[in-house]
Amino acid sequence: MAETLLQGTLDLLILRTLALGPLHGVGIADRIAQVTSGTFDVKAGSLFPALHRLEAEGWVRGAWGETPAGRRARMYTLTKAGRAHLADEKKSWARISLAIQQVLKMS
Amino acid sequence: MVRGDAVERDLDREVAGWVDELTARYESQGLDPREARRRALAETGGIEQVKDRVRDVRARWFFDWHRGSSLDRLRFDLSTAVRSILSTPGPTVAAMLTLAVAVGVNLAVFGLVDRALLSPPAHVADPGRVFTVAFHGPDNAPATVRMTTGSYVAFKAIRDQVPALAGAAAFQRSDLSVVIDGDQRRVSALLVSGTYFDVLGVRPMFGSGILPEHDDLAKATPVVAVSYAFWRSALGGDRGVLGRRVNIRGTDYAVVGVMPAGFSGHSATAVDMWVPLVAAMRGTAGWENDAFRNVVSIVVRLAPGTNIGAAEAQASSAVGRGISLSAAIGADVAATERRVAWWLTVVSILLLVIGLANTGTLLVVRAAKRRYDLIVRAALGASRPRLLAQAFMEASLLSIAATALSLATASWFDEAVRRMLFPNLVGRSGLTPSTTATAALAGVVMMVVAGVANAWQFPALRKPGAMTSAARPGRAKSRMLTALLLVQTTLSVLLLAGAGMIGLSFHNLASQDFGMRMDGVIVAEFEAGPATGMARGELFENALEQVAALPGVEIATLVDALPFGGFNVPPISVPGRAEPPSVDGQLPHLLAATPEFMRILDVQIVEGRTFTAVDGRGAPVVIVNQTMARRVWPGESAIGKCIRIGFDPDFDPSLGTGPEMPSGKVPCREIIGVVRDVRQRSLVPVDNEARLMQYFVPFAQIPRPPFMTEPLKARGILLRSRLTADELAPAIRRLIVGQRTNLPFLRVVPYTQFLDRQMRPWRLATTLLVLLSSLALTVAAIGLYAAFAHAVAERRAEMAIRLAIGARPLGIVRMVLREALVVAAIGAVAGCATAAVAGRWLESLLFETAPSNPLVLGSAAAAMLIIALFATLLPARSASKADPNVLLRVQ
Repeated sequence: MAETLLQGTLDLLILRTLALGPLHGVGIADRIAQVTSGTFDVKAGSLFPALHRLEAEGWVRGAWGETPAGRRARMYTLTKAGRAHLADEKKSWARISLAIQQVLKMS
Repeated sequence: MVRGDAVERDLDREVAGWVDELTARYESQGLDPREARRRALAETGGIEQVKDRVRDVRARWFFDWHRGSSLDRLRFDLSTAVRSILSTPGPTVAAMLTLAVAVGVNLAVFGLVDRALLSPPAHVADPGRVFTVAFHGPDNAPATVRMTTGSYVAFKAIRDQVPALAGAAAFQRSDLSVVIDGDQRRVSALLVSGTYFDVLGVRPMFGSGILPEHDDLAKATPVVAVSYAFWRSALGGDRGVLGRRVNIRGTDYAVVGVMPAGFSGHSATAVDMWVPLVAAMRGTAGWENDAFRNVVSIVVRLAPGTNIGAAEAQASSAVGRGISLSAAIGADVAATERRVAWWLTVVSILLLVIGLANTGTLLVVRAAKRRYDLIVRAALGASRPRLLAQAFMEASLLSIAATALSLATASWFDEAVRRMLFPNLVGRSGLTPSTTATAALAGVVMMVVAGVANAWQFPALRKPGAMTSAARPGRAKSRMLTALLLVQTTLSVLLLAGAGMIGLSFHNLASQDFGMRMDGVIVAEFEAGPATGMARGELFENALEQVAALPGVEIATLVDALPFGGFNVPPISVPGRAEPPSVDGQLPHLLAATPEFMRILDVQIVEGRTFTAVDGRGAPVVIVNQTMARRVWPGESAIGKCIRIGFDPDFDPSLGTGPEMPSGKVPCREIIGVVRDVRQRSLVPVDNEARLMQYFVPFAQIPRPPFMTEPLKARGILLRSRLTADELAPAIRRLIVGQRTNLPFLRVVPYTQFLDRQMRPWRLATTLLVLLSSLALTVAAIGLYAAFAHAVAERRAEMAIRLAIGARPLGIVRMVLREALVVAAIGAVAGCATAAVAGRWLESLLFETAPSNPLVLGSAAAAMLIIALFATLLPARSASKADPNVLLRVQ
């Protein structure tokens, strides 16, 4: 069951996934599902728009290539700007989650 | 829509790839292919939906004003603009070309007018202090008579005895035949005194140039200085050119200097070569110390701290005649050429306006085609400022491209127009700041026009239902289109009418009755230049009989001065009268004649008889023209009366003393005939030019000036023939020139060519106006076609409905054509009305043609209507083919 994801959060997950190496669309969805143990099952209808927006912003770069399985697919790579944006987002995510935890711990 | 087909295909493949991979997984899990695919599709959520969402995201991202850096935005807007321009190539290319041509022509014309009339001559130091000298006429001539040539004696007086002048130089223009490395060329030369370059303050680019020492009569060193353009074209731009020899009239001249690029002396008339006067005039005896031989023009520089008045006064007293100085800027350009140049400017501006109106039309049409794109963009959230910015960016791109194109074509146009209309003008030597500035200005205007045309659609976008009403044209837009079309048609008709008026004047001028026959008459003479010596006359005499015997030649005779070619005005007196006969100070013209001369030119006898073969040998006789007969002997017959011609023997030319009119010591010549007036020298019969006094004297009896001891020698041969001059030229040249190599070129030309110089302004103006009005008509036709094609496309639904309810296709065609004709007719009427009114300013160029000449105006209007008919025929036909079934479906 896919939890609802904020748009910015999905961006973060995709960028983090690609930080480990280039992947194609299906590969990214697989990796995210794997790592989150199935919590986030990202469908094509969410992934593709996100990927293309990230490409438009210049944080990932897409190019036609071959998957490890030998299938022809569009491979996405994290760019330098993307790496920088990922670092920023990680920091602000840490801040936000800390703040939420504080609120939740409140009595 | 946003990115194009390639990106769409990529997206397609990517999503399809996702589905395929999922399908493969399900298959490997054991499902059958069809079920696996069904599952994969269900899980993906539908290919089309996915693609839609990606497209949506892209569109939203790109149209959000705040997203991305300004560099990204700029880049995106730029690429959008480029794509949008490329998506409608037809009207865009047409608009650009129209503008490039209109602006190019204007740039060329402004450049020409500037060089010829407004700008000081290039490379001349402090040109405001350089003047040309004009001599006043003799005492009994009206004050307005000016002569631009004087004697070398007068020049020396001005050079040496006028402290108010820092320097004076003499010059004479001459066309020379020059042999360089065995090739013969015609060269525009300026014969100059050694002080010429000093007076102008110019140094050669390299070499020493022509110096005051070259004025030494004893040495008469043969040297030349060449212009930059001539050095490049004829001498190969050879850096070792100094010392090279060129051969002029059998003598080798050494090149001693190359002048800077663009330098053409003290005026804008092109010069290829400068030659010292002393060297070039070597063959002419006594040219330098004869006070009555006017061989040179003079250019001077004012000394610092003095003014023109002082210089003129001092020069007058040094020379003994009135002197006027006129500025060197715009010098050497005849008054009629000046007028043509200004009219050229007006016409070019008209063309520019037509071009701009046409561009406006084409761009409005183009913007309308892309209205749908704009609406979608706006619906997707593009803000108004963003859309406006994109519209102006398109406009800028278009105008930059058009400006660049026009600068490139301007130099081509400059050369073409110059060669055609002002061949004597010095050529362009690169882009001037004023040209670039004008081009930039034109670009800005274009940008505004294009931007406005593009943005015209915007008010309609915000209205609800804009998308469905995309089929209906806005009222404001069709009013704007109509207005633009009217501007184009009116101005085109105006130009056409102008062309008609000038053309008709040209025709009227050429078909005047000059009192003589010029058709079929051919003249053979040596080219003018220094030292056209007396020996030439013998060549003509010896060859005359054989020339007359050539097949095709009817009659031939020796000739001296001809009407429209040279003149002879010796002193004259009538027995019993104190004053010589004159009209406004103009003495009668003398024409040397033979019986054959009178027959060739068909000069009409009205009283008495013409010359016969014996007349030259017997008592002195003369024939006068009607004007002279009436003025000198009003109310009586001139036959039997007599006149005295020539210098009195007691007249001393070097001192200017003695009786000015011939006294009783000169034989009185009997008048034996009266002839109809022959036009002496002017194409346009202003003032008294059509009624000058003339008299004809047999060749052998021509009186000679005191400084000439030999009898008159012929300057050429006049003949009548059915053949053309070109056909006879080789034979005539062989008979007269033979094998001799030291003679100038022998011209064999139709007599009518003598009129050319005066006809030139009308010929030029007609050619020019015909060309430009054709251009204007073409542009207007394109505008009409585009506007009506667009209108028909917009109103397809209406046409379809009409056809569906029973209208005939021919009726539809007629309806469209009628609309086009109405626009053309209004434009034609407006254009003709403007032409009739504005024609008054053209008066100086019109001859026997009224500005409201119905033939001219009617033809111009008719031409416009016909062109409009042809231009809108195609759209009209396509309107009649509107298929109701296809069209009633919304796009």
